[in-house]
Amino acid sequence: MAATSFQRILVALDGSDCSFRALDFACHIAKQYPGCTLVLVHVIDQRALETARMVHLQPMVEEIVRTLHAAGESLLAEAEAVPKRHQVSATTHLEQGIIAQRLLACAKEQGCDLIVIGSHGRTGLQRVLLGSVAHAVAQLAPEMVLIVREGAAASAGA
Amino acid sequence: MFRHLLVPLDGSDVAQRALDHAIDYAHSSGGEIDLIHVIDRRIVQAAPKALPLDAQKSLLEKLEEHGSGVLEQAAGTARSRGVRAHTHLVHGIIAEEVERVSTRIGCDLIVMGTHGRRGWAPMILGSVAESVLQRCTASVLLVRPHGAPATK
Repeated sequence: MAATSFQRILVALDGSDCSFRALDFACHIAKQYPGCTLVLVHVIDQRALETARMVHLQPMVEEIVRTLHAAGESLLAEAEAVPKRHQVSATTHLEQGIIAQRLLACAKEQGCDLIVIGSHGRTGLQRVLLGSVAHAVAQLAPEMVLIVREGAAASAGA
Repeated sequence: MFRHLLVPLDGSDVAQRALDHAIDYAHSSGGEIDLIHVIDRRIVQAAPKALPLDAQKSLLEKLEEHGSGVLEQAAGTARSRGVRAHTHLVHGIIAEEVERVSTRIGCDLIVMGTHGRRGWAPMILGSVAESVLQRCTASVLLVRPHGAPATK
């Protein structure tokens, strides 16, 4: 008899391989618990937009926002297909803000009991063992956190 | 799926919860679990004056006995669920030994509490968990203690 249970699992997605690997693991975990759903979240980095404003790209900011929103929607659509293949239900959420902060807020709003996140995203130094977003989430989340490393492989047989 | 799990045990409630999660996971993935208990020599070194050798020896023996008890009980629970379990009783500094053993056995997931026995509650992430995250190349599942702050 299982002593543990997860009902809602938040998966942080930024388009990196590591985040898709995290999604695979989340699907495998969700399948163990009947009724468990995934909350797929992509956060548009507010700081990138602030930077664009700072470097006098003001006239382009609207276009940058539009582009990032479209890219985020398309990422979430691609991601959504993964749980579907595993017959796991999922909702998608496109957010904007400081990444770790929005992820934590979303986990709370959606009543998640586990956050699954890659150790490294698309930005930042690869030589550190833990990226800054994963580090902030590990430090601040009241929920359980699964940090999926670069080399981890979720597919059966791996 | 993760196949080879490592669970550091210090006898705390949160380590027990981490063990429960690891056993459930290994049970469903067909994986195996390594259990590690680290006897921290700093316990003996914490005495204000160097302890006489026989007192040190007897204290270490008690710590070893306690550690084996924790490990055997945990391994028994895992085996009763049909999960293969191995135990490691080692001396040293917790995060260093977790890193060393995890590399040696090639585990792919470490399941551990955010605060163990030595935790200071106001810290959101205990120093051992923090150190393991910064040192180990395996994935890590962080288990919160019961009654962890629900808002932050």
